[in-house]
Amino acid sequence: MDVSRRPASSLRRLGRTIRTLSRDRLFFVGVVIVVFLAVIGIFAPWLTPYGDQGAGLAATPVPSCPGVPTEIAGLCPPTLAHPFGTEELGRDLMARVFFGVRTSLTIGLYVVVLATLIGLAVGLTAAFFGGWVDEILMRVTDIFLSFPHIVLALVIVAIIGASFYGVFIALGVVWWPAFARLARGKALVVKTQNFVLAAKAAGMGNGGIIVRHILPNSLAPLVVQMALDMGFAILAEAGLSFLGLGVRPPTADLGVMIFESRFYLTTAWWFALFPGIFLFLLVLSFNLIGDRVTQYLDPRQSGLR
Amino acid sequence: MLDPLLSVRDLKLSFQTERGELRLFQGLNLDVGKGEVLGVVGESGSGKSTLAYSIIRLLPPNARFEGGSVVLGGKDLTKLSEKQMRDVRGRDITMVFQDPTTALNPVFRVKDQMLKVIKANIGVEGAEARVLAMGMLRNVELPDAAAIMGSFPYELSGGMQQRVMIAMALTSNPQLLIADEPTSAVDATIQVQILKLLDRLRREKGFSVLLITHSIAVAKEVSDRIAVMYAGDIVEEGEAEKVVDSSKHPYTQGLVKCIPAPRARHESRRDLATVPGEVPDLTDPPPGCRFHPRCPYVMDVCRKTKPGYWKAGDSHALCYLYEGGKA
Repeated sequence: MDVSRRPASSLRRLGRTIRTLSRDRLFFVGVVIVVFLAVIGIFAPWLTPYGDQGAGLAATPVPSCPGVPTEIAGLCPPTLAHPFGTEELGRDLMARVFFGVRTSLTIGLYVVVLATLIGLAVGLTAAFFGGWVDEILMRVTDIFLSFPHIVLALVIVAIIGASFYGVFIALGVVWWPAFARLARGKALVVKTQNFVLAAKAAGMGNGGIIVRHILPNSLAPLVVQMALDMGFAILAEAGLSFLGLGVRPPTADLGVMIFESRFYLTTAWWFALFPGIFLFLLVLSFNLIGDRVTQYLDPRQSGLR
Repeated sequence: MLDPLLSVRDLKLSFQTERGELRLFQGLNLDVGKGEVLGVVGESGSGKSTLAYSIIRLLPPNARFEGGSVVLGGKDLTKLSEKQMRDVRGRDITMVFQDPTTALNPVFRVKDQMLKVIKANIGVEGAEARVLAMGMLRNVELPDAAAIMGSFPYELSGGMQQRVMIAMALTSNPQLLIADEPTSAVDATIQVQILKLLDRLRREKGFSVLLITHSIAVAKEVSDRIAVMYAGDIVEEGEAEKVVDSSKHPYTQGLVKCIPAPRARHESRRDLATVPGEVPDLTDPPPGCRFHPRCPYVMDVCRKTKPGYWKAGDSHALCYLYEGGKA
């Protein structure tokens, strides 16, 4: 019997892959950065003394800049009190960036979770029932796939309004088709397994079989895809926010900050640099992880190890 | 035979395939007595598994039921709604599969799967269900039931997994257990143990067994009666001993010859016998008797019209070689 086809061993294979990956330097770098950023995001309110969204200073007059004062009110180069400097409204940039990381990670996570949930529902239903159900669901998926992601997301945000939830719903709706296809592909394999037949023979209903047997055995590739897509989702969110169709002030957001900083590129280098670095790290780290995982899981590229 | 528990009458089933219509069963009859083990023997592709799946109505979408009845304890299963049928499955009829290593869901512990089956089929939960599950595991001769309960399927050997499957299949005290090649995927010593276990359990609990196997030797070992299937026909049926020791149908004789016999030291090595040829393509079945292209005793009449059953007591054979064979 072909052992590699057994789902138990595909789980074990994933485990083995993760063990191999833990010795992979690039993967390790990716994980370290993600953990670092996650800590920043989660503990943002406690990591800076400037309160919610870094706005603690907004109420007070513009901070006095030791050293080089800038001609623009509020902007102040990095000092000990403000390691990343301050932004145009005089708020501490480090606090803003940390809260921005928090926003990015939250939206990124929400987007891939929403996409996974919709994708699972559509993909598993299509795979399990087959026939015309499959046909209809997969053609709808194709329609969604045929739009350029960002354009479709823009349209949806324009309809439901720019806000935290607007962005997250828009991106989730744009993102699910890939998950639906992935879930369907895996579920088609799982569905032919003996334990599904055994469940049917034991009198289990369709819903029960999908939830208890197909779903848990189809999850592995989707988890990988979630890690892979986090970086892109975060980038897409920053893009929407940059265009003014994303998160609204006063919520700190890296995309919004980069947008605001573009007027001061020549005068306040820190304003664009720090949000930019953190956005870069977010996308880079998730892509490093996703990239290495994909390469290890791809049998055609096994020569890489 | 005792009173029949299951009566399949005039079952007609066909498949829509890319190469045309495949008419597998053309009026199949079969009885399984109460407390009896009926061995269904045949090559791959003979339709023996399909017979099992048509009884519990789990056929692939391209199968078409064209008539006949499957009566279990007075209920015609072919007339039930899908919802009613779901209650029959897992309660009145349960199944054990060929490959135990894939028949358990790999992501759940044995415990979770057993308790789920117990809850679904007999509506017992919690501590009571746990006690029941442990008892069942002990009953299928698994030592250290508690450890097994906490194991994932891949931590168990094939033989142990098959015992778990049998335990799960018997939780609801079914009337009929369908065992689809239950020992094909385990090694020879385990095979004997599993068969003995099944035999002991059915004596204790009184359920009937439909044992599907490609090995007529295995069938003889544990069956009360044997039905030999060839290309969708039951070509011979009767008491296990009689079918094997004094086979009537040439196909059965061929199968019996294939049983490897232990040989004494002085005997010369002989090759294992086979039945020459292969199962015909049923989208274009041979005319007349479906076995005639492979039959050593083929006669002209076999090529033209399908034989009827020769009958003697409970035995019958589908062949022109015997009196009354002419339909």
